[in-house]
Amino acid sequence: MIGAGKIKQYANILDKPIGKGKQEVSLSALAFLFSELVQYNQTQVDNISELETRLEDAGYAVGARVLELLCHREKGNRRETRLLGILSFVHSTVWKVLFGKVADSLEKGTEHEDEYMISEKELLVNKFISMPKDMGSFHCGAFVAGIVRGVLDNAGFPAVVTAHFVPVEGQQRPRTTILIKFAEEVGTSLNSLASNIPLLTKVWYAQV
Amino acid sequence: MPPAAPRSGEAIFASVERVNAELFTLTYGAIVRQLLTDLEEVDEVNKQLDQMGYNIGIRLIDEFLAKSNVSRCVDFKETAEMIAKVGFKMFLGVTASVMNWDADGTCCSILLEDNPLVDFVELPDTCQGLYYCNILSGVIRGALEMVAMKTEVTWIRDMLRGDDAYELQVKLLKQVPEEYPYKDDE
Repeated sequence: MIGAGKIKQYANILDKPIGKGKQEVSLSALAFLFSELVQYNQTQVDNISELETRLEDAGYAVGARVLELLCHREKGNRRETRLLGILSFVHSTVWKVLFGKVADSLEKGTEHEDEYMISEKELLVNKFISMPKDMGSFHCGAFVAGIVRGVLDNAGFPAVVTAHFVPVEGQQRPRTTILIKFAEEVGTSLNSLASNIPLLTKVWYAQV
Repeated sequence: MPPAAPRSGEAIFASVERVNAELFTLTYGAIVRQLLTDLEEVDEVNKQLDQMGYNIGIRLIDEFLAKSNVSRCVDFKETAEMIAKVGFKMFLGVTASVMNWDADGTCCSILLEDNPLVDFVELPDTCQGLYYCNILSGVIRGALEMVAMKTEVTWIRDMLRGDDAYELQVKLLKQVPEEYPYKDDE
């Protein structure tokens, strides 16, 4: 039979190579999938904040896995232990791998010591989404906020991450800002070390 | 003006905007996990995935027809070839092949060489009845229903369940002629 034996079977999934991450799917496939995710969650909740929570939780799971994958593949299994390090990891590496470009900007909040903002003109997942008026402040970028929270939390920097629309003059669609507020144990100094990180004890048997 | 020639799957895939397949894979995994947590029954999850795929399929067919410039397919054989060669390629970037045609040409198998949905996935013992990629069967069913074909799509082989390939069986149940919303004599 044609094609038999082409796909190699691995007895243990951990033996399978994890690949270089260069495979692509069309943007519309992702857009369709994301729209189904949002529509399904709309049927399961009663109000907007629950919907945001559910989208964030979905993103959290993605973020946790993205962190492990990228730490292994891009950084040779080294962990970031400094705040600025993990922030620039999210802003450049994670964004580049997931969305194809680095985030537009990374800023430190002026009002509070432990607040940072990642801005993006238009989030990839929001590209084909328009918000009805009665949804008010809901932002589908809650999914991306969840991804960021997943990465930060599993790297040992617990934070509360939310997504907001920021209107910009001259632009029809508002800019999106991901607001990251670190928890108190992370500390306010830029050089604080993440001291409570559970050691990553999983070993990859991947053939690189 | 002669109609534009149908474009190959690779040409369309090269011209559309693309994203990292891993984001797609992880998002799909998050969806399946949410469904399993909410519904708990594996059969319910299978049905829900199929329904979600159906919702996607009825809209996906518009994009497929717009981007690929295909003319009307003469018979079901051509339809299946279109799905495998153009459809899968332009959306998922994977090649699929059609085989195992039955005697009257109404039932065939689509074999997927590569499946971006299942990277990094392993089914635990508690979910052995799960058709993880069931969304694909819903997509095909939904898309074909919008072009006047009622079909039944089932999984024959699934690598997550221990088989050696991903094989979908597409069975044409009947052709539904399009109904016009107005009478001819008005």
